Amino acid sequence: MNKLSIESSRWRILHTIFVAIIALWGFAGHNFQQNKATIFEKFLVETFSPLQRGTMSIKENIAYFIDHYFLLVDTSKQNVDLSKKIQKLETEIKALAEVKQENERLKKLLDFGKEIPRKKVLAQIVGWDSSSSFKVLRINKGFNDGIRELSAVVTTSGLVGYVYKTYFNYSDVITILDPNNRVDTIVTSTRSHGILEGRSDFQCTLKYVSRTEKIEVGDSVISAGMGNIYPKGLPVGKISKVDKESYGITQKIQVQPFVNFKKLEEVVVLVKSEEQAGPKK
Amino acid sequence: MNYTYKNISLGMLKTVAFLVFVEIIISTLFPLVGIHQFKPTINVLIVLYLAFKLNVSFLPYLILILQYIHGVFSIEGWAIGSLIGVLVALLIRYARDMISFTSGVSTMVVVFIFHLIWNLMFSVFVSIKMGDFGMLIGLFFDYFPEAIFVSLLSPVFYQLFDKFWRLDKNTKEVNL
Repeated sequence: MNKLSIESSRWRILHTIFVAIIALWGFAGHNFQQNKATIFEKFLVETFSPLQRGTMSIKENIAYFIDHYFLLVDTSKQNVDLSKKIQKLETEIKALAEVKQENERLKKLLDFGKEIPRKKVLAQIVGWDSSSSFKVLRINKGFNDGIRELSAVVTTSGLVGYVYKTYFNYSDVITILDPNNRVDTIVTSTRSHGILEGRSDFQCTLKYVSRTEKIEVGDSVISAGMGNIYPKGLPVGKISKVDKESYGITQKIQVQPFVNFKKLEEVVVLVKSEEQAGPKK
Repeated sequence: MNYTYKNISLGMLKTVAFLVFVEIIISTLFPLVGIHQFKPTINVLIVLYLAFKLNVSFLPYLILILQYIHGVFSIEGWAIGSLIGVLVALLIRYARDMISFTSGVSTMVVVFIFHLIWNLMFSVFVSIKMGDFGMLIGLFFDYFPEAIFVSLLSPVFYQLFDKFWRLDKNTKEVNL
């Protein structure tokens, strides 16, 4: 081995150790429950998220293209003038119908939880976590829209999760499907408390419910309101499986969330006021 | 083969652009068509490629950059991937003489083995962090389909990366 090669090898080891220490430090400080975005992360997210948002709208654009151009080619050949007028009117009607549907959806969303004394911010989903083990979604509202970390996120069907990280115009929401998200819940029929944990396969597990509690399939689960993140009484899901093993003091309970995460488009963020949030650390 | 800093910067720029493009597709189009459980780990594939092909002392920094970009699209963050990346790169460094990319199948096998090592490290680190070793096996097998998929496609992707880095198929490694 010549001198240059030994020198290079030394540098390689030094660089590796240096980066490994930085990464170890970063990993030790990384929190899967709550995290503050650095200014550089904010810059990158603000740069890339509009691209995610644009890609998310591809589906609507393709459907629009097929409906309004591709399928109408023959008709326009037969009667150009008339079809143009019809096409225009149809487009308007469809657009209005779409707007009406969206309005109804948004109105329902805003009406949801009127009694909850929190500021409501409507947001659209722009992307999901690119890693399959984590169930985190990105919404198009951020710090500039008044969103703060640890705000609950809901839809008309029920609880979605909470805001994990905020950027200037975007936020990351950790859903109840994520194993890192734990929600204190109550089974409505028995009023028994349990901790709901995500399982990343669109199901959740309800833990620490005593095996003496008579839990049945179909029972509803709501948020208990502890932990200062979720307001009390938000619908979370229904019991889909109860497994009482012959040993242990708790039972294995599977919960199917009320929210259909596969078809989620819009959400409402429930932002606490300064007083509700409590003193800043 | 000898390389210049310009070659490396250019190759890295193209690779980062490709990673961003793939991350956007995975985080938007995949869920849009109902694929939530399967997200190809292209970042792992790229890091493995760099570790296999680049014999440069500052490789850990390149891994750090790639993982930082990946962290923008995932709660996973940059740190765990960087840590695993440099450890796997070190392992590859010592096993380099045994690694061969002479055929598509050998590329697939090599990538699969190192992807599994990556998965194992990831599961162990996350379990330690969460303080719950009950999820170790689940986490490991969560990424199993991705490891198979990425390995099967690795010869195609590696040809593409060879173009980014202006390498030919038979180049074993590049030096500065």
